[in-house]
Amino acid sequence: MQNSHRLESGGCIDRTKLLSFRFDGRRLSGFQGDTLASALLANGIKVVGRSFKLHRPRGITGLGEEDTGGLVQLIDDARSTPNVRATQTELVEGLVARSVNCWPGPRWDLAGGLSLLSRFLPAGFYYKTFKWPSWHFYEPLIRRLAGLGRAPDGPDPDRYEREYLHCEVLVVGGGTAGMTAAAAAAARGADVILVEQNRVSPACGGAYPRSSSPSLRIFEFACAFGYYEDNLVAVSRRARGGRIAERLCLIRAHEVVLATGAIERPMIFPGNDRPGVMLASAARGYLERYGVVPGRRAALVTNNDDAYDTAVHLQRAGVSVAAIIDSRDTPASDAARSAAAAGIAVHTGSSILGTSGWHALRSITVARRGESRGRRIDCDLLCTSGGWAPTLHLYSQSGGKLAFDEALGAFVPGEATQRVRAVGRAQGATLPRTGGNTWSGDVGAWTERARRHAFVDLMSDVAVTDIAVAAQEGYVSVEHLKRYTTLGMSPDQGKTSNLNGLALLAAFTGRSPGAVGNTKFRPPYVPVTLGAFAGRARGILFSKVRRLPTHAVQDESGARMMELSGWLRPAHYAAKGSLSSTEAEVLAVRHRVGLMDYSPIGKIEISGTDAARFLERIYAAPVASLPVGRARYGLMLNENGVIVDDGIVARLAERRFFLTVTSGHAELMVDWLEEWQQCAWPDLDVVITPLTTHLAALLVSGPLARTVLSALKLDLPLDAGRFPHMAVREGALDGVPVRVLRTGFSGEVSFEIYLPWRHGATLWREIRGAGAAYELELFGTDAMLMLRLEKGFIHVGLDTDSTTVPDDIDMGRLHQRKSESFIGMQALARPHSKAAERLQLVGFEPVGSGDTLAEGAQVPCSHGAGRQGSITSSGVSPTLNRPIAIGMLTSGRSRYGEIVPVHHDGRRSRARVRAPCFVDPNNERLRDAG
Amino acid sequence: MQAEAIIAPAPVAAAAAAAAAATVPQDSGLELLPLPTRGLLSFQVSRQSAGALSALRSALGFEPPSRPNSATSLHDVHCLWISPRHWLIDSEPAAEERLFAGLAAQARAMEGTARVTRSSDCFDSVLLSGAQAASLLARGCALDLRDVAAPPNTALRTRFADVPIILYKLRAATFRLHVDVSLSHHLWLWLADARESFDSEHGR
Repeated sequence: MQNSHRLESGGCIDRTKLLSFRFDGRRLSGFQGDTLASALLANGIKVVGRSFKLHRPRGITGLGEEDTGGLVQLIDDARSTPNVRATQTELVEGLVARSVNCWPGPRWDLAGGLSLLSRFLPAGFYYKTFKWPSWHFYEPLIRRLAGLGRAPDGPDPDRYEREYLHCEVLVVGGGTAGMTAAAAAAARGADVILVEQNRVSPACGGAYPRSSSPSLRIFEFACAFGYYEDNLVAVSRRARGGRIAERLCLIRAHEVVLATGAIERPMIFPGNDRPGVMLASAARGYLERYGVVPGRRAALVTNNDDAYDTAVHLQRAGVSVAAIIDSRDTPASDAARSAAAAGIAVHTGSSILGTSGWHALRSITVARRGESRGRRIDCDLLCTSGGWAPTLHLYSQSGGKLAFDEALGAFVPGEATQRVRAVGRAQGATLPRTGGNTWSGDVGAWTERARRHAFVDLMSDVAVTDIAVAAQEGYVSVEHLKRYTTLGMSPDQGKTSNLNGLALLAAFTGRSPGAVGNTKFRPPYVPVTLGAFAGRARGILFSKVRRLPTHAVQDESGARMMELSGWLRPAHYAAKGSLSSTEAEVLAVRHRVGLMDYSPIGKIEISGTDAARFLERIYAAPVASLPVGRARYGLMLNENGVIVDDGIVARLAERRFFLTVTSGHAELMVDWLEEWQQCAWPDLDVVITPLTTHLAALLVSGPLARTVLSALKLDLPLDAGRFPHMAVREGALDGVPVRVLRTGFSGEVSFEIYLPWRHGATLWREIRGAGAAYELELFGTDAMLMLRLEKGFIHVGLDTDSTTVPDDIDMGRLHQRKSESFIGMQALARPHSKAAERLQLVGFEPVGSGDTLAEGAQVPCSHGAGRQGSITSSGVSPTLNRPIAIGMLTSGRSRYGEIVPVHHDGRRSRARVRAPCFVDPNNERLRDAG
Repeated sequence: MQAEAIIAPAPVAAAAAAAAAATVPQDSGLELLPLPTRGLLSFQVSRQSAGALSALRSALGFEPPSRPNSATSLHDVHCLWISPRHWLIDSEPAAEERLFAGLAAQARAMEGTARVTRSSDCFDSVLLSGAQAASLLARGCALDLRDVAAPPNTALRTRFADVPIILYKLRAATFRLHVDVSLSHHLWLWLADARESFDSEHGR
């Protein structure tokens, strides 16, 4: 019968608005204002899903985020959201939910028999079993059995948002304490944000007096889940209609007030995980907020006075309260009087020996302390209350210390390390005192069966026996206990299990709970959708990609664009004739002329009276001696002598230099230079000016480069005599200021033309026009990488790694000429940096099959173990019409001519070691007579 | 190729302007206006000193900002102190040559310890205004842009939508963003997407 457990009146629901929903295919109904959990309980649904490890039946145990059994999968068209708490899911018309971790359903689950094997599956069993033949043999089955819910396999249709907010006071929690604190702060004129994970509403029919202050912003359905440095609190705001499914708010507050309340502790007894067992506060909450009675005949088990009120409330609502089982000998007189007045039987000094029921609770067995046999009490609802613990997850994440309060039996806020304070129940002062442990008697004397069926963490299936095993095996630190048993992991994050778990560990190791301590809570406090973290960074906005100044004209040029080092660049252009595009482009540069948009190269200008001194310290190459108008190749090293970047340094004037660095490092190297100047040498008069996107750069390369450029209105002489290799000139091109570098990364005569960014596309077209008569080809990054490979020029980061020093690439001569100190110099003097057996840059030619050597292929050691080198760049040279490669090899330069094995992905081949330069080893083409 | 082509509106800005005009309702509380290329000059010094402020004062004809991350202005010439040794002069393009000449003269007088760089080519600029402007910025910028923390005339370098920008708060709800020209397309896509969400949230 629909809504069979709903009272005729009461609750904060709108009974005029009936909502229909589906759970596991059943059509059910609830009311506006219900959560999915309250609607399920109202319809008499006790079993909601199955547990993580043992597939035991699970039901609703809590009212909100502390619930341990009501995880469901929400399905809405293309959306499928796993592991959503039914207690935190607002009921809406047409909602469809499915139980998790069971098949075919939660009442009859094929894997339910695992529970019978629980004695063989104690804590850490997976560390000790599945050894033979290997873990991977069992892994597929275990992966299918384990886990909660199913990850969606289609694209997420929802949109997510991220927002940065700032305020003077952030109040977390919209209960009495939170609202009072927020209103008081707002009244003082402070800019206040209050976040509440549900509605800000104290009880049915009432509402907190809302401040009319415009400086108070209240976010409902917003859960603070993480607390970070400098009072940064991460908040997840759930959808309330509209297109944004979830919003991640990063709130930085001058001061944070945690009014996070307290969570009731469950009592521990055998069979305490059976659906129908519920926190007393939750049962009362369902009654008051939703007009739902979670059972017809109830019992309560407790160690404090608070549960007595719940018993009375249930009785007044028409629930038959069979008994209160109090572990204490003498409850407070007020509590006892109220129970007696309501006619409720109280069993003091008693505990529960067990529960029964096939799927859900039918009865409990109660015994006085010391008795081994008890008497049966029929009930379908067992409310459990082991006292209250302040909710201090965020306080702990903020770095605040926690102190154990013996009277409360829980941790309370200790010394704070940020501007944060806990108020109300989160402070602990107003919480009811407890009368001892949440378990009965000497837990060490419990039978093995009792321990195995008394659960501490219902989400992770951690039972008392698991804590005992961990303690026995030496996991006496609470952090080790957590990792060994998974206690407090999963979506629960220890809300109801942590305190009981560490109290048990204390009991098993003969310590006090305060001495055991608490785990440091980790974010997130509640599960947060991955989409919320991604926010807008998805699809085309996933990462930023820079565009060339010639981007708009690349399409008409037939470019095939790809992302490289954060830039969208032409990899190659359309193929022509029988050659591949890259082959045609390489051959054009070698024999005629090519044009490339070279703008991504990092460009930096260094000026100032101490510019030369500064760069002398930066580069592992002489700079101060560089004449004006000339350029030099240079390496930048870190303090360990390792190459971090390379490029050209050109002297524009006595106190002005122009640097190029690799495109992927452009921003990084500017920061690096600034750091050295500001931190190490603030006495040097140096100005560092990044110019990467100030200046477009077009590269004209090939034997006819000079001829093509001569057709432009460039006011610079280009002949080799007046513009030799490795020279720089400044001039004008049709009135636009330009800077021209003559270099040769391609191995051919090359001119790099730098000019204001917005003129790049115009010059591109002009050079194409001028080059048409000479069959100028556009070339992309694929051709450039091949051209430099043919020359044996390194690509930093591709051919080098975090151990490569200049001598490894045969560039030791650059710094050996230096007299001034430079970064990394001391490290290069270490014997290790000069050892003969270091990896050195060499060339490789395949022997035998003639197949191309794969990049990343390994050169194994002759004795079989380890490697003596690897292939770093490889391809078929269009110029030589055969495969070539370069790479690093132990003592490589002394092994030219040797044949070495090369292994890659199960394939074995051989290669001859040689010098890395394959084309024009004497650089005659670069230094043409012009 | 003519030198004056440098002051033509950037293609991205032009596209952005068209898109903005097509989709932003008049009453949205949020206006997004791509700006024609601004005249931008970078003035850097090797060391922080009173000489730098004096040089700026002489070249600009008004008092430069006395606090870091703030700006002063006169007749649409704005001086933004964006990092300890770096000022950005933001003006109408027509004023750029005059300002460049003045600053270059001051830099020469400082004997190599100062440098002026033309930066107009390096940035695309967008004007963001309206009651919801700060709210939109808060979706991509982690800084506190409330008036109490960032009063009008605040100028700073930061990241917006993971893109490095120079942000200039001209008035309480009016921001000028200078974004690296190679990334302006990405920023525009981001803003268009954000505004779409923004409009739907606000029932437009």
